[in-house]
Amino acid sequence: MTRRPYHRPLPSNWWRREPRLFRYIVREGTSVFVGLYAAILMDGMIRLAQGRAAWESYLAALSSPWGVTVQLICLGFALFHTVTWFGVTPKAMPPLLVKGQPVPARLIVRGHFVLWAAVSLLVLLILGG
Amino acid sequence: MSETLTLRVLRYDPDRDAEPYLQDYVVPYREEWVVLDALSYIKEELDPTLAYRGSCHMALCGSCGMMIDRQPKLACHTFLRDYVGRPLLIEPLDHFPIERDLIVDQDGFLEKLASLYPYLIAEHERTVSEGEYRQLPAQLAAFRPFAQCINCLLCYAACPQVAINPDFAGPAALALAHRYNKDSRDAGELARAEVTDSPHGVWDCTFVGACSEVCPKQVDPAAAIQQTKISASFRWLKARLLPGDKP
Amino acid sequence: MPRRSDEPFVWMPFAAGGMVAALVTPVLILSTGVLLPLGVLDLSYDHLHALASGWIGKLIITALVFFPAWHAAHRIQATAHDLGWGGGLGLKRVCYGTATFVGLVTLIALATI
Repeated sequence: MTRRPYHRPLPSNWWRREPRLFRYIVREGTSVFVGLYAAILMDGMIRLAQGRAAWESYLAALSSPWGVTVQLICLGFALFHTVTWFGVTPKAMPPLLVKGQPVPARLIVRGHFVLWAAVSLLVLLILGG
Repeated sequence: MSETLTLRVLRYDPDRDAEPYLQDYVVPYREEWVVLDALSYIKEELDPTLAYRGSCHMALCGSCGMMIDRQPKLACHTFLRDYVGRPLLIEPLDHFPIERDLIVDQDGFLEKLASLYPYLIAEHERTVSEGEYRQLPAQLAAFRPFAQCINCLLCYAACPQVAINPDFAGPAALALAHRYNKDSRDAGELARAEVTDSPHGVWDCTFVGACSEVCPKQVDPAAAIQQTKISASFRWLKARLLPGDKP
Repeated sequence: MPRRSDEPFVWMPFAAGGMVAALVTPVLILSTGVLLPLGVLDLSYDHLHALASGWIGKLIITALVFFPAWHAAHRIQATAHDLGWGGGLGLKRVCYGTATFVGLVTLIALATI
C-alpha cells in the first residue's frame, strides 16, 4: 500500500455544525457588546469633560428609546459574559486546597457571584451618591 | 426492538480511491455491543478489507478513537443501543489525515508530544543511597488527573484550533507537559517552556473547552492549558522586564 | 528552537479585562440603561464631576473603560481569525489600536476635569 494520506479541510461553517462550537462563538461574541459599552462610557467621559449641558444631553441620549434598547442588548450579552467567565475561572486556577481538601469548582464559581453582588452593590452606592 | 443496525462507514483505500466514500454495513443489534464489536463483526463476517484500530476494549489503550455520529468517541466506549433507529455514521478522527479507512496519521501529534519532553526531567541524577522520591497526597493530587491521558486524540478531533492552526501543540500534548511540570519530582518546566510558551504552544488555545468535554478520562486539558498560560505569562514578565539574556 | 511568544503582553490585560467586564460592566449598564431612564439614579453632573475630580477616580474610570475595551479587542480579532474573516496583523492593529484609543481618549477627557 502506498501512503497517500487524505486531508479533510475544515468546513467554513464548522462553528454552525455543533451546538458546543456555536455556543463558543456566541460566548466570544459577547465581547462586541462589552466593547460597544466601553465606547459608550468613553463618550460619556468626553461629555462630562465638556460641561453640564453636554453631560445632560448624554443622559438624555442614554434614556432615549434607542439608548435603552442598545444598552439592554449590551446588558444581556454582558450577563452572558459574566456567567461564562465565572464558569471557566476555576479551570484557570491550580487546585485550591483547604485543610488538604480541594475546593470544588462550584464553590469557586459561587464565590465569584458573591463578589459580583458585593461589587455591584458598591457601584450602585457610589453612583447613587 | 430492531434486530439489526446499519453502520455507515467511511472507506478510503489510497491505492484505489481518489477520495473517501461511505459504505453501509448491516450488523446484528446486540444490546451489550459497542461500536468496536460491530466493527469486528464487519471485519470477520462481512468485509475483511475494513481497517481500524482497537485493542484493549476497555478505554485504556486509546487506540479506537473515531468520529461516531459526528462526535469524537472511543469505539469501545460507545454502545450501539444509544443509536438505534438510523444509520450510524462512523468516520476517522477529525483534523487528522486519513491513512486508510478509519485509521489516521498520528505522526504530527507524536512529534508535538515528543517536543514537550513527556517524562520526568530530574534535577540531578539520583543515587540509590538517596532513597526514593517521597510525595505527599497533595503533591500527587496536583498532577494526577493530567496523568490519566491515554493519547486517544479525541481532544484533537474536538478542538477547532487544531484544525485552524495545524502547528498548534494541542490539548493532550500540553496537558502532559503540565502533568510533568506539576510533578514534584520534575525539574523540566523551563525546558518544556520552549514549546509551551511559543506561539503554537498554549497561545493558539482560545479556551473553547471542547477538549475537556470529550475526554474519556477527565484529564481536563483545557484547565492544564489555562494554568500554563498564567505561568507562561509570569515567565514572559521575568524575561522582558528583568535584565538578563533570556530570549 | 521556537521563540518565546509575546502573546502575554496582550493576554494579561485581556484576562484582567474579562474579570473587570464580568464584575462591573453589568451593574454599570444597569445603572445607565435601566436605573437612569427609570429615574431611580440621578447620575447628575455635579455628582459624576465630583467622582471624576480626584486622580484615583480618574484612574478607576479609565480602567473600567480600557480593560473591557482591550478584552473585546483581543476576542474580536481572535474570533475573526477563527471564522476565517481576516484576523491577520492588520486587524490586530485596528482592534488593539481602537482599544488603546478608547482608553487614551477617556483618560485625556478625565484629565481635563
